[in-house]
Amino acid sequence: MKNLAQDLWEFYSDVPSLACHAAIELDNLIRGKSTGLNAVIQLAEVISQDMALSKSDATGIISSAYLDSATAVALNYAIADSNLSTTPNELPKLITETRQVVQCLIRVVENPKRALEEEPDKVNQLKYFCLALSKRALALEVPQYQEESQHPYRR
Amino acid sequence: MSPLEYTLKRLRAFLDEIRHLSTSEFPYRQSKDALQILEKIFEKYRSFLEDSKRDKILDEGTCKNVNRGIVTYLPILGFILRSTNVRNAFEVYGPTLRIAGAILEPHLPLTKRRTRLILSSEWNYSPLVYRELPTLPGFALIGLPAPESSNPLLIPLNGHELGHVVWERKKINLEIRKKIKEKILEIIMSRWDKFQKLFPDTLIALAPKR
Repeated sequence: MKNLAQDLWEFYSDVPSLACHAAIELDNLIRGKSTGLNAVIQLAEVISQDMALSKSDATGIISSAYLDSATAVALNYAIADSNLSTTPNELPKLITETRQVVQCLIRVVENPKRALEEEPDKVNQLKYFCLALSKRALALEVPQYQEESQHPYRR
Repeated sequence: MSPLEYTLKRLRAFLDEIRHLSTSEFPYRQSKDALQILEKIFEKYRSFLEDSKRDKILDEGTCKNVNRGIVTYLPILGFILRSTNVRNAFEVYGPTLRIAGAILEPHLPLTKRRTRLILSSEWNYSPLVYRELPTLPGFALIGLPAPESSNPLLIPLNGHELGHVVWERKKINLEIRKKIKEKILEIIMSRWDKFQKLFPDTLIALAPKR
């Protein structure tokens, strides 16, 4: 997957904007407007890293030290919001569901044309998943302007 | 004005500003690279929001991300502009970039390294470094106080600021968090009786087996 993740997104990006870009790319794909799927690839990679998919075993058991808890909570909601599954209520189930979503995203990236022909509804559902993930991750974020130190006389 | 119209107006103004700044004369290429990346990312949003055939259900989320992005990156545009200021010690740029690349990508030859650096003259009392910016991956943005520009000790301070970048990029926090947790638990266990007196209601499950 890393070899595919070229362009300017190759190192890292935050989940809300990356998921939003991925939703835009999937919408463009569905409408036959090819603008690439770089954000989709990168989102799959970021989710895999944040959820430490490579470090969990087949049953989804993982050390919480490796897990990005904010991404985990946002994913949990996003999977339910987009009807990809019922709300996972345990971490191992969430890991399993997440792995399936990541695999679906990779399948679309690897062969977008086939994915659209064979599973158009799934591609649409993935678009709504990306949108839901963006919204949920954004809602969980600490407002940036509250963290900034301001000049004592600035209003 | 609808949220979409409002967002598009701000987005177009932001993109205009990037294009205007891009015409400045930069002492090193990487400031311009950063502007090009930002332009590409925000242009993608603009192109989508101006496409009448888009799925309108994506509008709200996209507008939120655009506005959040403008709030986040507008100060960065100012930072990039100030990287052209003559208060900057341009002669330390090359060596600092080489050090940053050597630390962050030690296994790659000089020509293949992707680490990029922007040194800027800032109007804060203390030197600063921007955390890894999601839209500018691989960039280290270091700001040094303008009134101290004649102070040679600012040069080693670059190294200190670079340390923050290394800490974040190499995810050192993740590596040592588990070790710190284990060490703290070990200390608690070794002083269990005292700990129990101070915190009688907590961590019963941790009590050492006797």
